[in-house]
Amino acid sequence: MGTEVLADTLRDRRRSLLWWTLGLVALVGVTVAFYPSIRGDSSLSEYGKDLPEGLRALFAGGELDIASPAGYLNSQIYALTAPLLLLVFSIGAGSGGIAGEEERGTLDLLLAHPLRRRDYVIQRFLALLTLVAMLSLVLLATVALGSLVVDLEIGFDRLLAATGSVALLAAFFGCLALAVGGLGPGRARATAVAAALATAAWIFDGLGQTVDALDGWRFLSPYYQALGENPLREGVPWDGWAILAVGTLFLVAIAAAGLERRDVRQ
Amino acid sequence: MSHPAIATDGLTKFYGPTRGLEGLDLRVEWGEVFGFLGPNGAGKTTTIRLLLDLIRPTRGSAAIAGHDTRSDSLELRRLTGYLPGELKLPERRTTGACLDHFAQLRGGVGARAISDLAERLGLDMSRRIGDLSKGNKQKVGVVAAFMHDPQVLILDEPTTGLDPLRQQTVLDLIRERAEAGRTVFLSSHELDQVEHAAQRVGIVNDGRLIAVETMAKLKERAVRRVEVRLTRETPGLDRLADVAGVRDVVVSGRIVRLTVEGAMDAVVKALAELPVQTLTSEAPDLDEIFLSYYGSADGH
Repeated sequence: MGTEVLADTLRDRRRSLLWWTLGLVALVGVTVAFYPSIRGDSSLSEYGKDLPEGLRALFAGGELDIASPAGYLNSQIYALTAPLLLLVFSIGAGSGGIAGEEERGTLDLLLAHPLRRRDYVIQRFLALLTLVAMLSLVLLATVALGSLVVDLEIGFDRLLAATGSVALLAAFFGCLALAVGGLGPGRARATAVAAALATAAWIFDGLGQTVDALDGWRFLSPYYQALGENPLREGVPWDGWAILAVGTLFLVAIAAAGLERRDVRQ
Repeated sequence: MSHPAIATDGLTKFYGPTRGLEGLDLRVEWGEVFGFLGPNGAGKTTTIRLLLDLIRPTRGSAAIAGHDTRSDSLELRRLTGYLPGELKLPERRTTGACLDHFAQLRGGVGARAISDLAERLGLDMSRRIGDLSKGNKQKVGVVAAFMHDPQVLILDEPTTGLDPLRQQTVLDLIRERAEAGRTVFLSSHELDQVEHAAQRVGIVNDGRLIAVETMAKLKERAVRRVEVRLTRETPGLDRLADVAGVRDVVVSGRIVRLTVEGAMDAVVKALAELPVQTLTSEAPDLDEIFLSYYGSADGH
């Protein structure tokens, strides 16, 4: 297998990655920088506790004390903002991998070259993984450095665990978009399916925290596997990571098998 | 080489219920320029994309140099050069970067090969593809198809968007490759675009191959509309209808319109006696040629 498609995709996404980096550093940096102003603010802690359980589950990572270091980072960054950013970025890369190239008409000439379709898909997957990893490192570095600056006490291993979870979650849904593109043409469809299922996974996990009947089913949500057990407090959810990694590889296999079997639209 | 350059057996493609191509049996030999002629939507592009394994046949099979499109697709694409009919290139790249990318996908191509082709076609390698005219984009596609000196070239309407001078350059390139023993499969919806390059022509319409003819035979069937403008009104123009190959003579004042089948020689000699001001002849009408084949096929 060559590496030209991988190298070319990374070249192509350089500028986009730069803008995403700037946006993420700004948003996450500002969020971390606000921590000193609410540190130890008991009214905010009370406010968090007074939130309806469902809202707290969805928008604050289920945190009771959002003025504590882990509670603040989880509720303000890792439960929603960071996954949302990484998911949008990753689903964009995933839907662009096959469906986007096909829609632009560039896949036709590309696949007329001596390049196996599955090798093409694998290289686009590796590119997606690289890009998500790079943006995740930006997230990790921004939070870690920001926490140092504002004296927010959090273990680096915990940040690593939470960031890794966000990265895996993003990669999983990015590869879902890649797989939908592998099965049939249409960038909008690939994006919509992945975005809808990612949203459903997030809502399902939030509901699972509040609705007793669903509590036993939370494991079905990829969001739960990544972030449901609060890696900022509990560390790496190894089972969840393993499940997401296997699921991601499975989706890549679907993408490759789908593209191998079908007609390329002109 | 024992295998023909291109061979198809009962090659058939349906898009759902719609027929793209049905029962194509074709042999194209080495060193041959084969014209594939038909109106838009006739099945030319379907055939070409089947040959490159971009779409899969409903029935039948095809092979290039003995490499089956389905079981040996990678090797097939290695020795084939392809110019799509609807060429789409990465808009944000420069011409040079784009061609370099294509070369890398082939495991590298001599830089000389790319620059020589670009020079002959007058292609600026430093400009962004998104800023190029249609003709210049087409040149990028031509370079991409030719740069690795493929054994078989499959070109879908290669002269689209090119000015006449560059069209000639492309036709020269095609001829040179054929002389070097390469095979060129050349599709077009206009007879003029293939008549100087191709030795044999396959005519396809509505998903079916109607005929395979030598270029010389096909030209005999070619029908041209001719308009003659005379300097003054002249009696007895109706007699032009008696000239070999001429029909549908219509006289209106100083203007004579007529249809000529095959060679123009007899008409031109007959016109020599008349006070001709201008003589206009359109490119052969492909529809007329199709009709003549349908006619013979149906036994009329």
